Amino acid sequence: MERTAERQAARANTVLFRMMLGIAGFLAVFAVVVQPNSSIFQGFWAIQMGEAGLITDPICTGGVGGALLNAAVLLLVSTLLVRWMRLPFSGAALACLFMMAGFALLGKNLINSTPILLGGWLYARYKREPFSKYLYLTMFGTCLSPLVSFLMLHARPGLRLVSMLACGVVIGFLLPPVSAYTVRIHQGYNLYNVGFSAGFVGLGVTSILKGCGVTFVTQGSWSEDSHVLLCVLVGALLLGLLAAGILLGCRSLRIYGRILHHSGRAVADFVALESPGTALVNMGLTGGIGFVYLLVLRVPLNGPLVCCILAMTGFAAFGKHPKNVVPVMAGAILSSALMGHVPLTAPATLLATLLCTGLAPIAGQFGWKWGAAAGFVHMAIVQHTSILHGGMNLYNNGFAAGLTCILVIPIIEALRPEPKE
Amino acid sequence: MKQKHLHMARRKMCHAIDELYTLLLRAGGEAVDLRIRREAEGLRLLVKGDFSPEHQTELERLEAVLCPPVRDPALVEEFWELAGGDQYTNDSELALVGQMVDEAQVRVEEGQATIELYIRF
Repeated sequence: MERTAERQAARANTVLFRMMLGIAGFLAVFAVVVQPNSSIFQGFWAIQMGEAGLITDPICTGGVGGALLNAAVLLLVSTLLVRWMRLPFSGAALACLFMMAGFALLGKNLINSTPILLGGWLYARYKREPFSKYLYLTMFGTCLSPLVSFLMLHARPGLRLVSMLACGVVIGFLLPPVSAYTVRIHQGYNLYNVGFSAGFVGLGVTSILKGCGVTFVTQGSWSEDSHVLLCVLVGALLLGLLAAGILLGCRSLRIYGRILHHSGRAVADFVALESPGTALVNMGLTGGIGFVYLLVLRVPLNGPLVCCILAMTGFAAFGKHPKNVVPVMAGAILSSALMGHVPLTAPATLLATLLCTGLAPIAGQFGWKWGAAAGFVHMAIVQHTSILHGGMNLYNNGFAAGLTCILVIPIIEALRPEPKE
Repeated sequence: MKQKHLHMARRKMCHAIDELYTLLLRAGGEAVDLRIRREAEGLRLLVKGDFSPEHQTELERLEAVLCPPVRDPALVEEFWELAGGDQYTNDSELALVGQMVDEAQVRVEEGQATIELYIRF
């Protein structure tokens, strides 16, 4: 019986590995089809050597083909790293890989991520542990990669290589212990735990650099002319996930419905708790909510917005589902509507509305009203957190979500009656 | 004796104990016996306790939760401190305990559960 379960898990693992390779291949082929000339490689190189702080759209820097190629390469390298380290393709792994692919459309690239990965590896060596144990933390930690790019471009000539390497290594070295600590603070109610810890590490590093006279200015860019192409890409990806989930056995509402009973609070690995098929269907549906929301608002899709959809999709294997993301998004939308200075279609607001779903476990655990309240507070807080790390933490919403938890969770616990034993 | 990570194993075991006795007490148990043994390469925990008959099915599912077919060490590294930490909600982190331990055995009889966990140093 135990052997059968192990064999089934091994088979599912292989299927998910091939699926991630397939997604990387799909992104690469799509990139070449939409930009079928050498400019794709020039664009790809421009992204590696360009600015990456919030909110920079790599499509503006390197074209839609270059940006998608960057996402494909980063996803391929990350997938192979997970496989090489012999980690299972669990819900956490899927979330991590989708974040790598997604945030390659909002600032991550091979050059600015590599020093952070090196720092994580050095931390593992220091602790005399296998690097595999720290791989997710380190890969999520690449959310501070804009700092590496910033130093590569703005440090004194002659110091650029050393400073970017040193900064990346320090970040990669420090993030694992800080992330293990911050999880205690929000108690698993913020799915973007490393975003929270990276906010503090980013705050520390940028404050020191500011003290040395560095001024953080991000140029920012926001493309609007690749809407149709990106709609086709996102639509195909989400439908593909749905189809894969159905093929893997999630063929009835009864089977899928079980996932909606989970609060989503970490650790809710839907691949293990339910099944790979159910998790994939959930990924397609939850990502679809973000996609439909943007279509309803008639906002042209671009790199950062596709990034948000991929983040929602990835974490639908690790805590998010339609029942717990909708209340949080509704709270954020209400907050934006009531605050006159935060229009619904402003770039930062769109990102916050989609990424506030990192607080979905609050709705799952305490009900939709508290979920909406958390989304409301998140939208207000996130408007003021970017300045703390100079726009260098790509998971700024994860940072804000952690701060929201500190404010909201104790209040909920104080006001709600104690659970029945 | 390999005790490089004894400190970490001890901390993880404390969190696992927290989850297990909470489970049994919430399942209507009146007495929970805990016995912990330091072995050459790890810590072994033996938990024995009773529970109310209406929780029989829930306890029978425990083996699947504590003995997952695949363990993900990278997930454990980030989240293991969540186990046992929250006593406010009814949500358990037993699946996380299953990921944290190196071996687990569960025996559930009528109204009685025996759980054995092992964490390597």
